[in-house]
Amino acid sequence: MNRMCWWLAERVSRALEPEEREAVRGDFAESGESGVRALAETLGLVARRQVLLWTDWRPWLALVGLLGPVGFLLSVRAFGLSLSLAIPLWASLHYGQGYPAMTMTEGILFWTADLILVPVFAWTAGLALLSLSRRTAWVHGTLFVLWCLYCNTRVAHYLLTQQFVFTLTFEALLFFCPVTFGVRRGLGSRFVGVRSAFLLLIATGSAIVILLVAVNHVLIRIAQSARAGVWLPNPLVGQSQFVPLAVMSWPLVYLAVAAVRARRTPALR
Amino acid sequence: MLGEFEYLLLTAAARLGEDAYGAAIREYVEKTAGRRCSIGALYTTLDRLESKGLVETWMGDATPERGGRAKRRVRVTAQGARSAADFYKAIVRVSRGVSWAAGRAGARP
Repeated sequence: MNRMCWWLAERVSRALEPEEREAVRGDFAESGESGVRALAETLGLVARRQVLLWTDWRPWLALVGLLGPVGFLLSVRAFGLSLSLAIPLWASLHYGQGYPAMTMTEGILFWTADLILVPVFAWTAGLALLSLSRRTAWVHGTLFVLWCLYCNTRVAHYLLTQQFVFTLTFEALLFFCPVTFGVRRGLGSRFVGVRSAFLLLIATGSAIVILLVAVNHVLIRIAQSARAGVWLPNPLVGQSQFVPLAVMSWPLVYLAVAAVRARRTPALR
Repeated sequence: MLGEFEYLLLTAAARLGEDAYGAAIREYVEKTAGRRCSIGALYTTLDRLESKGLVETWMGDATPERGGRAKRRVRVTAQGARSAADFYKAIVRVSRGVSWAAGRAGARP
């Protein structure tokens, strides 16, 4: 029990700054604390530090501005995209053909645009989260995962188990992996290079234009005639896409602005 | 004006002088004030005092009895000493004539 408490205390103390962690561990060693008390004391200090962090505006911006709206819109879009890939795959495995809705050209346009947007938005959201508030990242990360799981389970009960597994597999590849890579990148450096930021802006800008131009055309055509084609459009995304896409873009814009500022002011790095 | 716990920490740090660091201050406060001093309260209050310019802290050398880990050493600044003195005087003044202060320094006969 005592050893387990020490192990836990050691793990929890990793949430502290390195110097403070060093001082606290030394204090415990010197005063011969029991494992239980060391764990309680460490938890108390970490909790106080977290509360103090939340007196700043950045964690709140990350929570209210990024985690809430971007997390919701992005997880819905990622789930919809995964669904639009998984259902035709499932249908072709069971019935030997995809689910007809779009023509090949329309499908490729939608598919390519969303396959650029979802991973890029996911990666930039993960990195922006760390960039805004690194020390509250584990709180944000936990809330983010819970929020995404909640959004997924709202849709999941409409699906068969195999369809859901296929969808989750695509979602893991297109959404959860890029978010994780973004967070890992943010642990190393809070900034992206100016060139990378502008390349991402151009790629996402082009994908957004393709989507906005194509979406009305496709939805009108599908409404008129739901026949020949191979892919469903992203079924969870509505007709008005401009505002959601703009909201999901702000972490990328923020990173681009931060990259330019960091280049002008090297001390920020 | 200082808070009660801030005053306790400043006084403990001043009393310990060169030996003022996290564990020593905590032990001194627990022994003399007879109250529990958590690590969380200690270090967050030290940060607050430092941001007010009342103490200076820095990482000292590692010692074997601490498992080779460094101490966070504390020194009371001149401003900190003035603030503690003002607090003490205010407590003495406000306590004059009350029953629990009878027979103590500053109490009215």
